[in-house]
Amino acid sequence: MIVLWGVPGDGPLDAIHACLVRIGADFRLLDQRDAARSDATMRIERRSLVLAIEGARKADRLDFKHVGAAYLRPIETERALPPDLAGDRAARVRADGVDRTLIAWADLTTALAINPPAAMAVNNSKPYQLRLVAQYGFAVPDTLVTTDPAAVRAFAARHGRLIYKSVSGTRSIVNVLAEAEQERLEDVANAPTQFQAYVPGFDVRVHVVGDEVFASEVKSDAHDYRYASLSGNDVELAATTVSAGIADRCRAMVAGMGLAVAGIDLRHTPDGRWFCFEVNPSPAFVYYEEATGQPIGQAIADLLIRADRARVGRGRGMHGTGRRATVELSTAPPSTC
Amino acid sequence: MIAVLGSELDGAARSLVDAWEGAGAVLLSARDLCTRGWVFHATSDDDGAFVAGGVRRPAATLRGVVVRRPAVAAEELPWIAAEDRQYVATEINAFLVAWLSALPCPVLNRPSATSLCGPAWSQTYWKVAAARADVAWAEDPVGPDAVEEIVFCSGLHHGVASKRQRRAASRLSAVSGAELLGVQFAGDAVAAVTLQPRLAEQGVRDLVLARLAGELAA
Repeated sequence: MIVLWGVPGDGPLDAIHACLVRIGADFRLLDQRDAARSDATMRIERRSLVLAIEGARKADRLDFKHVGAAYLRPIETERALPPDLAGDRAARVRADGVDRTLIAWADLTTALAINPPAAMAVNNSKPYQLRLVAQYGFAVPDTLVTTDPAAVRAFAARHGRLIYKSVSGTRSIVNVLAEAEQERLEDVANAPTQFQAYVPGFDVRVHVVGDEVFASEVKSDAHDYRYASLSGNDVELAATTVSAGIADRCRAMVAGMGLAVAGIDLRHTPDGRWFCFEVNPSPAFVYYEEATGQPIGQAIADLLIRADRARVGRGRGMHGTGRRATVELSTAPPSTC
Repeated sequence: MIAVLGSELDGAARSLVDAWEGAGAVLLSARDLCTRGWVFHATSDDDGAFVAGGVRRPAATLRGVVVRRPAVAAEELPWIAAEDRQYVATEINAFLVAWLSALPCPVLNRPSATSLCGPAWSQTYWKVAAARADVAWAEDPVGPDAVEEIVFCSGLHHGVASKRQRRAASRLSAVSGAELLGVQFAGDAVAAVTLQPRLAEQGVRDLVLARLAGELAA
């Protein structure tokens, strides 16, 4: 069985849900909004991880021993609380317990989790992730994190144009450091701030789904095309291809980070180098799919189905080798959705 | 110089700094993270700088770091505007994960993406890790009087331990990637694990200091 976990209305979750419905796959949708009215128990029994979710009704019970793959799109517990329970402390504690248990299961299970939360957490420190990215052969922008305005000025003197963005995944919008902002540089003394050398070129978003690679070329004058509308800019997306070498590098990087699915932000420079800025472990792929027609959601659904079938054939336990991107996939042909 | 990354309110961290005064230990507090002077070149080996005890210091002078906290909390930053406190704490933690990971000197423990001090594992995670590493875990809850604790650091330990206990601690250290851990045993079975063991005893402090001084291999 495949489990989908999140809040209906979320684009990627809805897209995968629709694919699984059309395929007729064996799946259950766990609506995160029900967590405050559910209970989760996880234990280790005969060296196996045992998880059960109990809902308000008996029919809601879900025994995870039947689960071979899961697609996870949870949001913060607080935001998932239904309006009638907002502000209810007991409900929040209960929901938090269920969410934490599911997250632990996703990290510890030998079923395929897209993606394991601990692996996804690497994205919460941009400079940390960037150092990992560099190990896979991509160029990375020269990066300074500092509380020292003088260090920023020296960095700017070396690189010219700089961009700045958050160190964490919060408020992560890319901005160019303008001349007029030099006076504000004194503010960096308040907390570590991240600056990067500006890299010219055009953007390519690569989605890796297991072994499949989907590339989209991005045309925009915005410094951060994801927020182009904030600066009054447009974005054009088009399906494209990358060389086999770049595709292999993307696959190796995603697998090496313990992920099965990821969105990779690349920039191809005029002198032919490929820079990688970030690996997004929970990509909002629907935006790219709708613009390019690439079947990214279908590929994710197929990956879940193959992993689930492989796990049924392999049996379940704590010592399975089929976790994450290295899951032993069956040779079943991809389904159509 | 040795940095103890901890809270100014953490008496154990301050005690450690006092005990290691001769080794140049200094407390690296949340206040230091909001002080002018930090320079971290995340993608190169260029010279950096850090701030500890309110003083800017060259990163090259750092011989080791002991991490005594899983994260910096927003509540520890009262000088930051209330509406920005959570954001700044998140930024500081993201920065520390990258900085501690990149340091060439010993760091006990190296951070993970989820904690400044090794993996953020609950006892459930440890139980699963133990099962996968063929380490016995105590079946029933164990009272405090029935457990023995050893502190394990870089292949050595402090505390009386059987061969099986030493092997169990070694395996848990290997699977978690944490060099420094405290393991509680009920007999030869593990009852609990912590990545922030008490470092109050002189023997433990000597063991950890030896690792920080490079006298023990990782």
